[in-house]
Amino acid sequence: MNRGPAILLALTAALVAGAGVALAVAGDDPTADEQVSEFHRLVGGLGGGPAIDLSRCEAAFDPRLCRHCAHETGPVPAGGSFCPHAHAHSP
Amino acid sequence: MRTLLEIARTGVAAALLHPARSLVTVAAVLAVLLPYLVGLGISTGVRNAANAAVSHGADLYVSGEQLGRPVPIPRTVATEIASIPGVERVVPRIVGRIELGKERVSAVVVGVPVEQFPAGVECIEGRLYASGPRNELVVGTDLARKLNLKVGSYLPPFYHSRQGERVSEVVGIFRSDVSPWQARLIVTSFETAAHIFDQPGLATDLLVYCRPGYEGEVRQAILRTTADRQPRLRVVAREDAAALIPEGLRQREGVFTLLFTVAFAVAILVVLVTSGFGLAERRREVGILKATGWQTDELLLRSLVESLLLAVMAWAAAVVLAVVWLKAFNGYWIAGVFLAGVDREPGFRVPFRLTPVPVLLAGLVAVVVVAAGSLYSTWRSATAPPREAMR
Repeated sequence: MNRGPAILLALTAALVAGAGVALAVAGDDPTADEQVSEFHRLVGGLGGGPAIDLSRCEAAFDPRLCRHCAHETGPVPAGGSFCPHAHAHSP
Repeated sequence: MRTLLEIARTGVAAALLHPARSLVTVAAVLAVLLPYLVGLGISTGVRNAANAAVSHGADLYVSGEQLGRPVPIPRTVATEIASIPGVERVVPRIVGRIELGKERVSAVVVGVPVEQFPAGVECIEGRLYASGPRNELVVGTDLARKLNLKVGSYLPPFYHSRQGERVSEVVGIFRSDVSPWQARLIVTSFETAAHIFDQPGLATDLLVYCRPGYEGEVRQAILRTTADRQPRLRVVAREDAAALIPEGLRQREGVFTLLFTVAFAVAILVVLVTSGFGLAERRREVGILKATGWQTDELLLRSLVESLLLAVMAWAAAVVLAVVWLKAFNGYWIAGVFLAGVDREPGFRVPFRLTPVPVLLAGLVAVVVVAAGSLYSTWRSATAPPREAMR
């Protein structure tokens, strides 16, 4: 009897089980949550934008620091000037 | 039912009839699904980290504005705001940009008073800086790596001040998993930050902590009492920040999803080619089955089971590899897609979260990609006269 299909099904089941285990292992770490809270209490809540420093513009690092993108040129014919860092308030 | 199960079993066997084709199909789906899952995981993780930056932050952020641009405000404004009923405390903060080292690494200097913070903090390796004018710095992980800094390292003067320059000491390094935005930070006392920028008496913004339920009233009171002040004050409440912050991240997620929509469309075409239009044996196989009495719906069921099996294999392998990519390889290369300024090998723990709904959705996408590529070609072969299909 050909055992190929059974082996293939077993392999698939093992892969699915492996995926489940991997997802469980990749869960949250509650200790890290406390450290995250402590960090933000220290710096007063900082970051949240799609950049990790101020070299582009303040709004890309933390939109609370600056309402508008430094690269914003306002409306231009046939569209808007896109900030390369794609953050809030870019046209 | 028994007949259906028998047909399903032939579907499983069909995946083994053309192992190369099955492998190519799984690889094609895996190639698209893996970066998609990793991207979804990082975007959710970064969004959660951004939410933490809002929820653990101040209730109100008061900053100055002139000619539509942000400007510093006098530190004395903090005393005025502190006297407003409902205000618990006001913390002045300096946030500014500097460049360090020969390679001019961009860093963010943050100056905050530390009086109300206990000395033993968990988010730092080393210790917290002391208050006062001594240049004690806590630096971010990416900065520490780029400048080869350790706890106890000394930095020669990197700024110019009218009061003279001083050597700075690194007293702590942030833990890599506290936030992506710690990576390039230099956090120090308010006085030291004012000394570094040579701007005494000024703050970038004031962090206002209110008694619960007083945020709205305090905000109104700040704007009312400082209406004729220059620079004009701008107040951002926690709710405003919660609405502002995800916009930029969502825009990046949108571009990412758009790119992957195209990639999924291409994957369907690849599976179409490997499943029928490019594989004459499969067409012949369908023709032979049709000639031996198989009905079109039975052939479609057989193909559907085969597609399901291949899609589940690709999906499960993608989930396992995505977790490995995120956990073991720390989002190597792909983290920069979601956070500008991140190197190929991120200098901090990239936040990620693979939630069940997007993971299951990715599974559904895998099934759609393989089924759309296989079922159509099977149906075309099954509806053609067997003689033609077998040719």
